[in-house]
Amino acid sequence: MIRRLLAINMRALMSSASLRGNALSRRRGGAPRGAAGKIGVFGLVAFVIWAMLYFFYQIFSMMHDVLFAIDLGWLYFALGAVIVFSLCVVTNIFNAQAQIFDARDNELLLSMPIRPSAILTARILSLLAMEYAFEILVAAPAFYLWLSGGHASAVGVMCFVAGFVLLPLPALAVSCLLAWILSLLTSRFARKNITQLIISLAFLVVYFKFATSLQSFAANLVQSGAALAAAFRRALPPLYFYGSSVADGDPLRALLFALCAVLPFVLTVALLSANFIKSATTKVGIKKRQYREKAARQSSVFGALLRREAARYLSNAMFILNMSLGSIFTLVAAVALVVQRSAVVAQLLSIAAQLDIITTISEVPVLARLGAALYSPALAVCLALMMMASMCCASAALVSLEGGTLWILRSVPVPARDVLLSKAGFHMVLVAPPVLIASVLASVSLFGGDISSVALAIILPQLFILLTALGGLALNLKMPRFDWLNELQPVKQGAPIILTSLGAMALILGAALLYLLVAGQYMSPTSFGWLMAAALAALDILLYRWMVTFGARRFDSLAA
Amino acid sequence: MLKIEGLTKRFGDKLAVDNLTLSVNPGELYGFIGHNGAGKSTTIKAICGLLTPDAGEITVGGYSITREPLEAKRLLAYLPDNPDLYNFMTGIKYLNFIADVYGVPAVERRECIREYGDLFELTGELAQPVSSYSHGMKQKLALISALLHAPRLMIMDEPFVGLDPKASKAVRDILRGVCDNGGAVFFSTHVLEVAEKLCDRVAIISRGRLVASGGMEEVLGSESLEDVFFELEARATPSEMQ
Repeated sequence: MIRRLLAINMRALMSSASLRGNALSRRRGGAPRGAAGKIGVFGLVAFVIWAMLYFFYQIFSMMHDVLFAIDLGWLYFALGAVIVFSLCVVTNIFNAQAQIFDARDNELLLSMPIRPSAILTARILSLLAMEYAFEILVAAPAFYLWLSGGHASAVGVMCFVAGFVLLPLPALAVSCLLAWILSLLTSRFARKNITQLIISLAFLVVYFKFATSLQSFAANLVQSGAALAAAFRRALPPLYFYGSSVADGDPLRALLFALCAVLPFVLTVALLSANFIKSATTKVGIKKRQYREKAARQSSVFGALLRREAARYLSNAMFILNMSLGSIFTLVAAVALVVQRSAVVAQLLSIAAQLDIITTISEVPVLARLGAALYSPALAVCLALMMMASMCCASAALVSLEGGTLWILRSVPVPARDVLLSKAGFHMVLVAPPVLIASVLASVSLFGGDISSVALAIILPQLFILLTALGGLALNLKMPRFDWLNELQPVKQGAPIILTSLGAMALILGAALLYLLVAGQYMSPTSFGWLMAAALAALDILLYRWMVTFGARRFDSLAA
Repeated sequence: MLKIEGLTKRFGDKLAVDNLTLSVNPGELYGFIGHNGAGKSTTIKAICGLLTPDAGEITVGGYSITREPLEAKRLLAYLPDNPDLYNFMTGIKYLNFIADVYGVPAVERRECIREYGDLFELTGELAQPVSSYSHGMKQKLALISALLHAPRLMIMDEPFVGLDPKASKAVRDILRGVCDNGGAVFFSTHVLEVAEKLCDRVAIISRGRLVASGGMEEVLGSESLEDVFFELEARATPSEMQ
């Protein structure tokens, strides 16, 4: 039974991410997707995997040289385990809440002759599969560096493999427990969304604090390695067992670590199994709001559609967090820029001056162009704002989110183009104002009276946001999924969301490389920015035309 | 009010509706009867513009649902068999959204919401989120939203499923009222008794094909609707499947 349930969960997960099934591999009507489409999609996915592997490779290569040189090889693996643990916990808390406690099919499955523990185990195993996917991005570079460094032994490799299997278990236990607590807390408050949002933001703050302290820990390690290692060993003995089992090839310590990893996991599953029916089905009574008739106000159709999107967005804290994280970062960064203005300007000028010196000695033209971009930072500010805006891909989930309610929009006398434009408009309402504020603050802080730079910092990011709004919507129209089990699936794991975000980042990186490698020798950064603005405006117009013609027809053909 | 000519709809190899022709006149309450999978919901979805026909023509009040969908949709109201509504809205917000979409003036919508809200005993629940509603309450809310713009044609898929007896009686009265005011109602049902008592005309569909249609007396003769239905069903079913 667990196998069957697991297969259902995995199918739901994979179909929402659309790594298989009709969204990526099939066109509308069932014909296989063309080779160019497949190459494009897998190219983007491969790019992200490569970027993450490269990022962790850099981190581990720093740690590897230092730690093995001072004979603290075990700490190399222990720190790797800390990274895996934190990555798995943070990425899975909300997934665990959505897939275990808020799943749409909980009541259906519980009404069948299936043991609740089997339902829970299947859900936990599908989360575990996701954790292994994250873990491999961390473990692969660590393993490669260890092997190529010549420190590995046969027993050590076996302990590493065993550790790979066991490491996500305690992380998953913590995720599930936190998700359970989150579920209990939010069900007891009348303003569930605000409570959930505050708790979620608190988790994020704790995570970033942890990530920052990890960096300073690594920096301090070089100076006072032995003392810190001893403190680490005292504070987290299971990680010492794991690290030393791999570094020294000690199976006994591997066994001790296995015990430390499996025990909390088993206890957590037992605890949640005992409470699963109650947690999944109990609805704590919230005080009923009394309806009082108010003077109704007639609004325009577009206004009503826009408010409908806003109501959906505000109905779920996870929607708010996922669709607005980039906007929150943008505002925080903009305020920080104003507060730290002189330090940021000094830093930029210092880097630019260093690049000048290097360029004079080595005559590397790319560095000269990079320096020019820092002296006149309008383009750099635009690209940074665009990068943060690319984290907001709300429009890429708005078609899929219609789910079973699509019949409403399809049966009312509203043209499909108005529906689609309201979705793109909602994306703009969500993302454009914070970026506009950030553009103005950055302009005030960095550009002074340079009108061209100010105008570019305002116009270019807005054109980019319009492109992501329309592009995300177009992708969701091409790959809609209405069969999700939890409404967070299209928002967090949907292929259109992933592709929009990756595509937007690829566009920004492509533009930066184009300037540094080619265009920088012919024009200033600001001129390149204006050229880019013209290209984005042209793309916006093309996508808008597609949206109101083919896109509207596509929406009208979706099965309600 | 509603004219269907030669409607055909396929899903892959399956012929869901085969060359179906019927018409509903103003003032008529028209019952659409058939077994599960006979093609009732497909026909209804095609009438409302939710499915594009492979062949045939559907007009609502003279407007083609494929060529002039907005004009046709303004005249009709659709109530699905299992209404999935916006769980993220309260009942009143949902009604106001639908009223805005149909351009119902503020005063009219307030009166309509008050009248039908009280009739279905839903007024007290309108400030609650739709997600907290039972199936029957969602059905009532969908019905009120369908009545907000005073439709000329009501298309309903199994409208009596999930309603309590009181609400069911209220719905029957409302539907009769729509017809008495010159509108028309076209609804599918499994409940043959309801169809027999309520409808002016009926159509029986089996395996996508219309096997009988017309006035009650014309279709029934001296038999009950149940007898006629089973007889026609048996006749329409290929002998090897019986």
